[in-house]
Amino acid sequence: MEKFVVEQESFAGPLDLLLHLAETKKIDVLSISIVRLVESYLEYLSQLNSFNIDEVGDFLEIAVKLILMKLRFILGDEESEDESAEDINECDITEDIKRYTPYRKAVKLLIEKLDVHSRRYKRGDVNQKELILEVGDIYLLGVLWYKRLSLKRFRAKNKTQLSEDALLRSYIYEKEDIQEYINRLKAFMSEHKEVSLKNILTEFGNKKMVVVVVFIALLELLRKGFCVFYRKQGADEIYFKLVC
Amino acid sequence: MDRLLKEIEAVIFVSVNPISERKIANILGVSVKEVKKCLDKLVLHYADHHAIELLKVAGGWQFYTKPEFADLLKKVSDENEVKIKLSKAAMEALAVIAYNQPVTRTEIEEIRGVRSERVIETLLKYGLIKTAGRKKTAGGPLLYRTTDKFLEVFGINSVDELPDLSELEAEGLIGGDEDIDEGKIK
Repeated sequence: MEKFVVEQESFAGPLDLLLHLAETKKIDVLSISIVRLVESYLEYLSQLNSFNIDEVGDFLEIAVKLILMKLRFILGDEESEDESAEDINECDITEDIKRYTPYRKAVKLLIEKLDVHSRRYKRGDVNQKELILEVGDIYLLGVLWYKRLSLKRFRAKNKTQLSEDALLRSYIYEKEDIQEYINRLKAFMSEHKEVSLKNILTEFGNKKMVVVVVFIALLELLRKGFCVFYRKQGADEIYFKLVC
Repeated sequence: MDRLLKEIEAVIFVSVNPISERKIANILGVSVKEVKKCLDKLVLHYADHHAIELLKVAGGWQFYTKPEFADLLKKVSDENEVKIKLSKAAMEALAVIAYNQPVTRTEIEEIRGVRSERVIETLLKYGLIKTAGRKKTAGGPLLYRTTDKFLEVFGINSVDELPDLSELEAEGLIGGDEDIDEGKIK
Protein backbone atom coordinates (compact mmCIF):
# COMPACT_ATOMS: atom_id res chain seq x y z
CA MET A 1 0.00 0.00 0.00
CA GLU A 2 1.37 3.40 -1.02
CA LYS A 3 1.21 6.31 1.40
CA PHE A 4 2.39 9.70 0.19
CA VAL A 5 4.09 12.00 2.68
CA VAL A 6 5.46 15.49 2.10
CA GLU A 7 8.93 16.51 3.23
CA GLN A 8 7.97 19.71 5.01
CA GLU A 9 11.45 20.93 5.81
CA SER A 10 12.39 21.62 2.18
CA PHE A 11 11.73 24.77 0.19
CA ALA A 12 9.67 24.47 -2.96
CA GLY A 13 11.90 26.96 -4.76
CA PRO A 14 13.44 30.45 -4.56
CA LEU A 15 10.08 32.24 -4.40
CA ASP A 16 8.98 29.98 -1.55
CA LEU A 17 12.20 30.80 0.31
CA LEU A 18 11.71 34.51 -0.34
CA LEU A 19 8.15 34.48 0.98
CA HIS A 20 9.20 32.28 3.92
CA LEU A 21 11.75 34.89 4.96
CA ALA A 22 9.21 37.64 4.49
CA GLU A 23 6.78 35.76 6.73
CA THR A 24 9.23 34.86 9.46
CA LYS A 25 10.71 38.35 9.60
CA LYS A 26 7.26 39.90 9.22
CA ILE A 27 8.61 42.37 6.69
CA ASP A 28 7.85 43.00 3.07
CA VAL A 29 9.80 41.17 0.43
CA LEU A 30 11.88 44.16 -0.61
CA SER A 31 13.18 44.72 2.91
CA ILE A 32 14.79 41.28 2.97
CA SER A 33 18.53 41.33 3.30
CA ILE A 34 20.12 39.71 0.26
CA VAL A 35 22.84 38.39 2.55
CA ARG A 36 20.20 36.72 4.77
CA LEU A 37 18.52 35.29 1.68
CA VAL A 38 21.77 33.82 0.38
CA GLU A 39 22.66 32.51 3.84
CA SER A 40 19.30 30.77 4.17
CA TYR A 41 19.64 29.23 0.76
CA LEU A 42 23.18 28.02 1.44
CA GLU A 43 21.98 26.54 4.73
CA TYR A 44 19.20 24.76 2.85
CA LEU A 45 21.62 23.48 0.17
CA SER A 46 24.02 22.17 2.80
CA GLN A 47 21.23 19.95 4.14
CA LEU A 48 20.64 18.37 0.75
CA ASN A 49 22.51 15.28 -0.41
CA SER A 50 22.62 16.59 -3.95
CA PHE A 51 21.38 19.62 -5.79
CA ASN A 52 20.85 20.67 -9.35
CA ILE A 53 23.06 23.47 -10.66
CA ASP A 54 20.12 24.77 -12.74
CA GLU A 55 18.05 25.19 -9.60
CA VAL A 56 20.87 27.16 -7.99
CA GLY A 57 20.91 29.33 -11.12
CA ASP A 58 17.18 29.98 -10.76
CA PHE A 59 17.70 31.03 -7.17
CA LEU A 60 20.46 33.45 -8.22
CA GLU A 61 18.13 34.90 -10.86
CA ILE A 62 15.59 35.72 -8.15
CA ALA A 63 18.32 37.22 -5.95
CA VAL A 64 19.49 39.38 -8.87
CA LYS A 65 15.93 40.53 -9.54
CA LEU A 66 15.64 41.49 -5.91
CA ILE A 67 18.90 43.46 -6.00
CA LEU A 68 17.77 45.29 -9.14
CA MET A 69 14.42 46.07 -7.56
CA LYS A 70 16.18 47.52 -4.54
CA LEU A 71 18.37 49.57 -6.81
CA ARG A 72 15.29 50.94 -8.54
CA PHE A 73 13.86 51.97 -5.20
CA ILE A 74 17.12 53.62 -4.18
CA LEU A 75 17.54 55.37 -7.51
CA GLY A 76 13.90 56.44 -7.68
CA ASP A 77 11.04 55.63 -10.02
CA GLU A 78 11.36 58.50 -12.48
CA GLU A 79 10.97 57.68 -16.16
CA SER A 80 14.24 57.26 -17.91
CA GLU A 81 15.37 56.75 -21.46
CA ASP A 82 18.33 54.88 -20.09
CA GLU A 83 18.51 51.24 -21.30
CA SER A 84 19.67 49.97 -17.91
CA ALA A 85 16.53 51.41 -16.32
CA GLU A 86 14.44 49.39 -18.78
CA ASP A 87 16.36 46.28 -17.83
CA ILE A 88 15.59 46.96 -14.19
CA ASN A 89 11.90 47.34 -14.98
CA GLU A 90 11.91 43.99 -16.77
CA CYS A 91 13.26 42.44 -13.61
CA ASP A 92 10.21 43.46 -11.60
CA ILE A 93 9.82 40.63 -9.11
CA THR A 94 6.47 41.79 -7.76
CA GLU A 95 4.61 40.31 -10.72
CA ASP A 96 6.37 36.97 -10.13
CA ILE A 97 5.39 37.06 -6.46
CA LYS A 98 1.82 38.11 -7.18
CA ARG A 99 1.41 35.27 -9.66
CA TYR A 100 3.14 32.76 -7.42
CA THR A 101 1.50 33.51 -4.04
CA PRO A 102 -1.84 31.71 -4.59
CA TYR A 103 -0.01 28.54 -5.64
CA ARG A 104 1.92 28.59 -2.39
CA LYS A 105 -1.41 28.66 -0.61
CA ALA A 106 -2.64 25.87 -2.89
CA VAL A 107 0.34 23.74 -1.82
CA LYS A 108 -0.60 24.24 1.83
CA LEU A 109 -4.16 23.27 1.02
CA LEU A 110 -3.08 20.13 -0.85
CA ILE A 111 -0.76 19.13 1.98
CA GLU A 112 -3.66 19.50 4.43
CA LYS A 113 -5.89 17.39 2.20
CA LEU A 114 -3.17 14.75 1.81
CA ASP A 115 -2.60 14.70 5.55
CA VAL A 116 -6.29 14.10 6.29
CA HIS A 117 -6.86 11.61 3.48
CA SER A 118 -3.72 9.60 4.23
CA ARG A 119 -5.25 8.93 7.63
CA ARG A 120 -8.16 7.17 5.95
CA TYR A 121 -7.95 3.52 4.98
CA LYS A 122 -10.02 1.73 2.41
CA ARG A 123 -10.75 -1.95 1.98
CA GLY A 124 -7.62 -3.88 1.12
CA ASP A 125 -5.21 -1.28 2.51
CA VAL A 126 -4.69 -3.28 5.67
CA ASN A 127 -3.25 -6.79 5.34
CA GLN A 128 -2.96 -6.42 1.61
CA LYS A 129 -0.13 -8.73 0.75
CA GLU A 130 2.14 -8.25 -2.19
CA LEU A 131 1.07 -10.46 -5.07
CA ILE A 132 3.44 -13.42 -5.13
CA LEU A 133 3.41 -15.67 -8.14
CA GLU A 134 4.72 -19.18 -7.88
CA VAL A 135 7.54 -19.90 -10.26
CA GLY A 136 5.33 -22.47 -11.91
CA ASP A 137 2.66 -19.81 -12.43
CA ILE A 138 5.07 -17.48 -14.16
CA TYR A 139 6.30 -20.30 -16.35
CA LEU A 140 2.74 -21.35 -17.13
CA LEU A 141 1.72 -17.79 -17.98
CA GLY A 142 4.74 -17.46 -20.26
CA VAL A 143 3.91 -20.67 -22.07
CA LEU A 144 0.25 -19.71 -22.39
CA TRP A 145 1.15 -16.32 -23.77
CA TYR A 146 3.46 -17.91 -26.31
CA LYS A 147 0.92 -20.57 -27.30
CA ARG A 148 -1.87 -18.01 -27.64
CA LEU A 149 0.36 -15.95 -29.90
CA SER A 150 1.14 -19.04 -32.00
CA LEU A 151 -2.55 -19.91 -32.12
CA LYS A 152 -3.45 -16.39 -33.24
CA ARG A 153 -0.85 -16.56 -35.99
CA PHE A 154 -2.02 -20.05 -36.98
CA ARG A 155 -5.64 -18.87 -37.18
CA ALA A 156 -4.68 -15.84 -39.23
CA LYS A 157 -2.63 -17.93 -41.61
CA ASN A 158 -5.01 -20.88 -42.00
CA LYS A 159 -8.25 -18.99 -41.41
CA THR A 160 -9.52 -21.70 -39.08
CA GLN A 161 -11.07 -21.48 -35.64
CA LEU A 162 -9.39 -23.72 -33.06
CA SER A 163 -10.63 -23.97 -29.52
CA GLU A 164 -8.31 -22.72 -26.78
CA ASP A 165 -9.66 -25.23 -24.26
CA ALA A 166 -7.50 -28.10 -25.39
CA LEU A 167 -4.50 -25.80 -25.44
CA LEU A 168 -5.11 -24.65 -21.86
CA ARG A 169 -5.70 -28.21 -20.64
CA SER A 170 -2.50 -29.46 -22.23
CA TYR A 171 -0.40 -26.96 -20.27
CA ILE A 172 -2.06 -27.00 -16.93
CA TYR A 173 0.41 -29.48 -15.41
CA GLU A 174 3.58 -27.55 -16.23
CA LYS A 175 3.94 -26.47 -12.58
CA GLU A 176 4.67 -30.11 -11.68
CA ASP A 177 7.25 -30.21 -14.46
CA ILE A 178 9.25 -27.47 -12.74
CA GLN A 179 9.17 -29.41 -9.49
CA GLU A 180 10.24 -32.52 -11.36
CA TYR A 181 13.21 -30.64 -12.85
CA ILE A 182 14.09 -29.24 -9.42
CA ASN A 183 14.17 -32.79 -8.01
CA ARG A 184 16.22 -34.06 -10.95
CA LEU A 185 18.69 -31.19 -10.62
CA LYS A 186 19.09 -31.84 -6.88
CA ALA A 187 19.72 -35.52 -7.56
CA PHE A 188 22.20 -34.70 -10.33
CA MET A 189 24.08 -32.22 -8.15
CA SER A 190 24.20 -34.59 -5.17
CA GLU A 191 25.87 -37.21 -7.41
CA HIS A 192 28.68 -34.76 -8.19
CA LYS A 193 30.75 -32.46 -6.04
CA GLU A 194 30.07 -29.59 -8.43
CA VAL A 195 28.46 -29.30 -11.85
CA SER A 196 28.94 -26.73 -14.54
CA LEU A 197 26.08 -25.26 -16.53
CA LYS A 198 27.44 -27.11 -19.52
CA ASN A 199 27.23 -30.44 -17.61
CA ILE A 200 23.64 -29.71 -16.65
CA LEU A 201 22.54 -28.88 -20.19
CA THR A 202 24.34 -31.95 -21.52
CA GLU A 203 22.50 -34.07 -18.97
CA PHE A 204 19.07 -32.49 -19.47
CA GLY A 205 19.20 -31.66 -23.16
CA ASN A 206 19.50 -28.32 -24.90
CA LYS A 207 16.08 -27.92 -26.46
CA LYS A 208 14.80 -24.37 -26.05
CA MET A 209 11.94 -25.37 -23.74
CA VAL A 210 14.19 -27.60 -21.61
CA VAL A 211 16.78 -24.84 -21.23
CA VAL A 212 14.05 -22.44 -20.01
CA VAL A 213 12.70 -24.96 -17.50
CA VAL A 214 16.20 -25.85 -16.26
CA PHE A 215 17.00 -22.17 -15.73
CA ILE A 216 13.79 -21.60 -13.80
CA ALA A 217 14.47 -24.70 -11.70
CA LEU A 218 18.04 -23.49 -11.01
CA LEU A 219 16.80 -20.05 -10.02
CA GLU A 220 14.30 -21.64 -7.67
CA LEU A 221 17.05 -23.79 -6.08
CA LEU A 222 19.22 -20.68 -5.64
CA ARG A 223 16.32 -18.66 -4.23
CA LYS A 224 15.53 -21.33 -1.67
CA GLY A 225 19.21 -21.64 -0.75
CA PHE A 226 19.59 -25.26 -1.82
CA CYS A 227 22.57 -24.49 -4.03
CA VAL A 228 25.16 -21.82 -4.75
CA PHE A 229 26.85 -20.80 -7.96
CA TYR A 230 30.34 -19.44 -8.57
CA ARG A 231 33.08 -18.97 -11.09
CA LYS A 232 36.57 -20.35 -10.54
CA GLN A 233 38.21 -17.57 -12.53
CA GLY A 234 37.13 -14.28 -14.07
CA ALA A 235 35.15 -15.28 -17.16
CA ASP A 236 35.18 -19.00 -16.44
CA GLU A 237 32.16 -21.26 -16.65
CA ILE A 238 29.46 -21.07 -14.00
CA TYR A 239 29.47 -23.92 -11.49
CA PHE A 240 26.71 -25.05 -9.16
CA LYS A 241 26.86 -27.15 -6.03
CA LEU A 242 24.33 -28.27 -3.45
CA VAL A 243 24.72 -26.76 0.01
CA CYS A 244 21.89 -28.58 1.78
CA MET B 1 -33.04 1.08 5.15
CA ASP B 2 -34.93 0.13 2.03
CA ARG B 3 -33.74 -2.55 -0.35
CA LEU B 4 -32.12 -0.22 -2.95
CA LEU B 5 -30.15 1.55 -0.27
CA LYS B 6 -28.75 -1.77 0.95
CA GLU B 7 -27.96 -2.90 -2.58
CA ILE B 8 -25.99 0.28 -3.27
CA GLU B 9 -24.16 -0.15 0.02
CA ALA B 10 -23.23 -3.72 -0.95
CA VAL B 11 -22.03 -2.71 -4.42
CA ILE B 12 -19.79 0.03 -3.02
CA PHE B 13 -18.53 -2.27 -0.26
CA VAL B 14 -17.20 -4.86 -2.71
CA SER B 15 -15.64 -2.30 -5.07
CA VAL B 16 -11.89 -2.05 -4.71
CA ASN B 17 -11.78 1.24 -6.68
CA PRO B 18 -14.15 4.22 -6.44
CA ILE B 19 -17.37 3.38 -8.29
CA SER B 20 -19.35 6.01 -10.17
CA GLU B 21 -23.05 6.72 -9.73
CA ARG B 22 -23.67 5.77 -13.36
CA LYS B 23 -21.99 2.41 -12.92
CA ILE B 24 -23.99 1.68 -9.77
CA ALA B 25 -27.18 2.65 -11.63
CA ASN B 26 -26.28 0.33 -14.54
CA ILE B 27 -25.53 -2.58 -12.21
CA LEU B 28 -28.78 -2.19 -10.28
CA GLY B 29 -30.92 -1.18 -13.26
CA VAL B 30 -32.13 2.06 -11.69
CA SER B 31 -31.76 5.73 -12.57
CA VAL B 32 -28.74 7.83 -11.60
CA LYS B 33 -31.15 10.17 -9.81
CA GLU B 34 -32.36 7.34 -7.55
CA VAL B 35 -28.77 6.31 -6.85
CA LYS B 36 -27.80 9.88 -5.91
CA LYS B 37 -30.74 10.13 -3.56
CA CYS B 38 -29.75 6.90 -1.80
CA LEU B 39 -26.09 7.94 -1.66
CA ASP B 40 -27.04 11.13 0.17
CA LYS B 41 -28.88 9.00 2.74
CA LEU B 42 -25.95 6.58 3.06
CA VAL B 43 -23.45 9.43 3.58
CA LEU B 44 -25.58 10.75 6.42
CA HIS B 45 -26.08 7.26 7.85
CA TYR B 46 -22.33 6.61 8.06
CA ALA B 47 -21.37 10.12 9.17
CA ASP B 48 -22.29 9.73 12.84
CA HIS B 49 -22.48 6.20 14.13
CA HIS B 50 -19.77 4.30 12.25
CA ALA B 51 -15.99 4.09 12.08
CA ILE B 52 -16.23 4.24 8.30
CA GLU B 53 -17.49 6.98 6.05
CA LEU B 54 -18.70 7.09 2.47
CA LEU B 55 -16.73 9.52 0.31
CA LYS B 56 -16.82 10.62 -3.30
CA VAL B 57 -13.26 10.48 -4.58
CA ALA B 58 -12.01 10.79 -8.16
CA GLY B 59 -15.56 10.74 -9.49
CA GLY B 60 -16.57 7.58 -7.65
CA TRP B 61 -17.80 6.40 -4.28
CA GLN B 62 -15.78 4.43 -1.77
CA PHE B 63 -15.86 3.47 1.88
CA TYR B 64 -12.97 4.75 3.99
CA THR B 65 -12.21 4.51 7.68
CA LYS B 66 -12.44 7.85 9.46
CA PRO B 67 -9.10 9.69 10.00
CA GLU B 68 -9.46 9.40 13.79
CA PHE B 69 -8.72 5.64 13.57
CA ALA B 70 -5.49 6.14 11.64
CA ASP B 71 -3.15 5.44 14.57
CA LEU B 72 -4.90 2.17 15.33
CA LEU B 73 -4.96 1.00 11.72
CA LYS B 74 -1.37 2.06 11.16
CA LYS B 75 -0.33 -0.61 13.66
CA VAL B 76 -2.07 -3.23 11.58
CA SER B 77 -0.93 -2.03 8.17
CA ASP B 78 2.61 -0.84 8.90
CA GLU B 79 4.41 -3.81 7.42
CA ASN B 80 2.59 -3.40 4.11
CA GLU B 81 2.89 0.36 3.95
CA VAL B 82 5.25 1.86 1.38
CA LYS B 83 5.95 5.51 2.18
CA ILE B 84 6.54 7.73 -0.83
CA LYS B 85 8.15 11.04 0.00
CA LEU B 86 7.16 14.05 -2.04
CA SER B 87 9.25 17.21 -1.84
CA LYS B 88 7.58 20.57 -1.47
CA ALA B 89 8.91 21.37 -4.95
CA ALA B 90 6.96 18.40 -6.33
CA MET B 91 3.86 19.55 -4.42
CA GLU B 92 4.24 23.02 -5.86
CA ALA B 93 4.54 21.72 -9.42
CA LEU B 94 1.52 19.50 -8.75
CA ALA B 95 -0.52 22.51 -7.57
CA VAL B 96 0.47 24.50 -10.66
CA ILE B 97 -0.53 21.60 -12.91
CA ALA B 98 -3.81 21.03 -11.05
CA TYR B 99 -4.82 24.67 -11.49
CA ASN B 100 -3.64 25.18 -15.06
CA GLN B 101 -4.05 21.83 -16.77
CA PRO B 102 -3.20 21.06 -19.44
CA VAL B 103 0.04 22.95 -18.96
CA THR B 104 3.56 22.85 -20.39
CA ARG B 105 6.77 22.58 -18.41
CA THR B 106 7.76 26.13 -19.39
CA GLU B 107 4.48 27.48 -18.05
CA ILE B 108 5.03 25.60 -14.78
CA GLU B 109 8.55 27.02 -14.54
CA GLU B 110 7.35 30.57 -15.23
CA ILE B 111 5.02 30.39 -12.24
CA ARG B 112 7.42 28.59 -9.91
CA GLY B 113 10.46 30.65 -10.92
CA VAL B 114 12.55 27.50 -10.96
CA ARG B 115 13.32 24.64 -13.32
CA SER B 116 10.93 21.74 -12.91
CA GLU B 117 12.20 18.84 -15.05
CA ARG B 118 13.06 16.63 -12.11
CA VAL B 119 9.88 17.23 -10.16
CA ILE B 120 7.79 16.56 -13.28
CA GLU B 121 9.67 13.28 -13.72
CA THR B 122 8.92 12.38 -10.10
CA LEU B 123 5.23 13.18 -10.47
CA LEU B 124 5.05 11.15 -13.69
CA LYS B 125 6.85 8.26 -11.99
CA TYR B 126 4.30 8.12 -9.18
CA GLY B 127 1.38 8.46 -11.58
CA LEU B 128 0.14 11.72 -10.09
CA ILE B 129 0.35 13.46 -13.47
CA LYS B 130 0.31 12.27 -17.07
CA THR B 131 1.14 13.74 -20.46
CA ALA B 132 -1.85 15.10 -22.30
CA GLY B 133 -0.68 15.67 -25.86
CA ARG B 134 1.40 18.53 -27.20
CA LYS B 135 0.69 22.24 -27.30
CA LYS B 136 0.18 23.59 -30.80
CA THR B 137 2.98 26.13 -30.56
CA ALA B 138 6.56 26.24 -31.78
CA GLY B 139 8.36 23.07 -30.74
CA GLY B 140 5.12 21.36 -29.68
CA PRO B 141 5.96 21.08 -25.97
CA LEU B 142 4.32 18.31 -23.94
CA LEU B 143 1.26 19.15 -21.94
CA TYR B 144 0.69 17.72 -18.47
CA ARG B 145 -2.45 17.09 -16.45
CA THR B 146 -3.28 15.45 -13.16
CA THR B 147 -4.55 11.86 -13.01
CA ASP B 148 -7.35 10.08 -11.19
CA LYS B 149 -4.66 8.73 -8.89
CA PHE B 150 -3.89 12.32 -7.86
CA LEU B 151 -7.56 12.74 -6.90
CA GLU B 152 -7.57 9.43 -5.02
CA VAL B 153 -4.36 10.16 -3.13
CA PHE B 154 -5.54 13.60 -2.02
CA GLY B 155 -9.15 12.52 -1.41
CA ILE B 156 -10.56 14.94 -3.95
CA ASN B 157 -13.59 14.23 -6.10
CA SER B 158 -12.62 16.61 -8.90
CA VAL B 159 -10.16 19.48 -9.41
CA ASP B 160 -13.22 21.75 -9.61
CA GLU B 161 -13.57 21.07 -5.88
CA LEU B 162 -10.39 23.06 -5.21
CA PRO B 163 -10.88 26.76 -4.35
CA ASP B 164 -10.29 29.23 -7.17
CA LEU B 165 -6.89 30.86 -7.42
CA SER B 166 -8.59 34.22 -6.95
CA GLU B 167 -9.95 32.98 -3.59
CA LEU B 168 -6.49 31.83 -2.55
CA GLU B 169 -4.99 35.10 -3.75
CA ALA B 170 -7.52 37.03 -1.71
CA GLU B 171 -6.48 35.12 1.41
CA GLY B 172 -2.87 36.13 0.76
CA LEU B 173 0.23 34.97 2.55
CA ILE B 174 2.17 38.15 3.01
CA GLY B 175 -0.64 40.30 4.22
CA GLY B 176 -3.09 39.85 1.36
CA ASP B 177 -3.84 42.07 -1.60
CA GLU B 178 -3.29 45.22 0.34
CA ASP B 179 0.44 44.46 0.27
CA ILE B 180 0.64 43.73 -3.42
CA ASP B 181 -1.12 46.21 -5.60
CA GLU B 182 -0.74 46.61 -9.34
CA GLY B 183 2.60 44.86 -9.38
CA LYS B 184 4.20 46.98 -6.68
CA ILE B 185 4.97 46.07 -3.12
CA LYS B 186 4.10 48.85 -0.75
